[in-house]
Amino acid sequence: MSLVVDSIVKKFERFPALNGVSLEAPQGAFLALVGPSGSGKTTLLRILGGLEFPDSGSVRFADLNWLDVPARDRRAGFVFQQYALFKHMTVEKNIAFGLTVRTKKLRPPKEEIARRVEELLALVQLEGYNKRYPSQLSGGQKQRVALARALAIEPRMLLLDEPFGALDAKVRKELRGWLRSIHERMGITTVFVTHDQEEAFALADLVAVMNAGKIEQYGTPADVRRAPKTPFVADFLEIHAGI
Amino acid sequence: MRFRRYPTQDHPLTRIGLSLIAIGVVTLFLLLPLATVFTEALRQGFAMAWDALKDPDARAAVRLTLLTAAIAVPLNAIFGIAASWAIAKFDFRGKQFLTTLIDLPFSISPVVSGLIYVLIFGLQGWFGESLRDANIKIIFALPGIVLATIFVTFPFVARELIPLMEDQGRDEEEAATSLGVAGNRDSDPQIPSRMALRGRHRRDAPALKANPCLWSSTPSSKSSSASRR
Repeated sequence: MSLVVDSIVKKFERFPALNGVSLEAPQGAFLALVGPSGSGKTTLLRILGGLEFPDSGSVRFADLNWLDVPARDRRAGFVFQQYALFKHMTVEKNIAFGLTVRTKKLRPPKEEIARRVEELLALVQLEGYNKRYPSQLSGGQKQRVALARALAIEPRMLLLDEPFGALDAKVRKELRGWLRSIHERMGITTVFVTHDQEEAFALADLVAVMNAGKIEQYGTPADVRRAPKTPFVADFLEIHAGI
Repeated sequence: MRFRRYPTQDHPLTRIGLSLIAIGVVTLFLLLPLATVFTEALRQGFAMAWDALKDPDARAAVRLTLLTAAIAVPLNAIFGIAASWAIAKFDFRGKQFLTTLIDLPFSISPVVSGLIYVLIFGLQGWFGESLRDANIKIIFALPGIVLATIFVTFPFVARELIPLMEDQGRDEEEAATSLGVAGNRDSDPQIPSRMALRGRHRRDAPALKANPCLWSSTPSSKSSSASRR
């Protein structure tokens, strides 16, 4: 069930977003893609989620040719920076959405869905918020609902696109620790995009430092920090270490 | 005591002057004609006005108006939603051109558009003779009236929806896809249309606070969301 990304190339209107990106991560890994904006990290994440398709290259995951699986069948829980909650639905309907839209054959019975929603609300520490609407929640609460919604479908892979980018520093730190503990409990292969190297290094088992559509260095946070391979990586770590 | 004002507030004379001009224009061009219609209609009392409404010609006029609206509004709703969806949610060649086309009725004088219909469907027009031979009446008949109404009112639906749908973005659709929703372009057609229908009532207040320029891009939804709070 490991994830293998092999020489992915993706061009947008002639300018290359990804320029031959390859990496491997074991099942259950927590992988961070980090780099300045425009480095292609979000594009790679969207390719993993099936929201974007590469011009060439391949992805293998769960013993499948992952690119041949349509987005809706991937069960890749996607969490967006701007939450992307359904504004016209209550919290519980948002969380249950991935289950209620299934065809009758695959849909769990109503009681089962309700039970799962309660469980997830407890997991994201939002018990009693069932009937609220997204506009009645704070940013941190919204992002937790978004995560619960992604977890409801029992994802094979969890994809997070700058999930804490819109939150203030304190909430961000809290959610960071809490995301890590959820990952440890559930063991879902997780890919996390951020431009904040401190966040990436604090959270992930594996870090891919990206720049201009390429991976500059890939390894454990300790290895990358100890021996930056390129001047860019060294520079990137230094600039951010000061903040 | 000096009159204190906020830095962005204009001089009292400017404000009063502008207000008077605005009120004057509204009164002269909107309220006065409306008042005239009612006073003239009711000059000889309610009974007389009621009798006038019983006149076959008057009834035919009312029926024609309602019928035209009953045809034009649903059609405009369908085309307007389709066009704004295409523009707001997809990227394609000629998108700019389509946007311009939608605005066209606003910039063309209704007289000119009427002339265009006459040139196309009128007796001397392109299809005039063949239409007459087939015994189909368009100009000076119901089809012509409906066509002209649709043309003139077409931008209203799309102009209202495009900023709203653009503001909502594609994230929700993509989220729905990743949660397993099937559909065209792998997305749930229900999500954007339902959001558009309810979006004006349940807007994302924090997003607006964080990005005040959203207010100006959707002027029409401003009042509805503000009044809810």
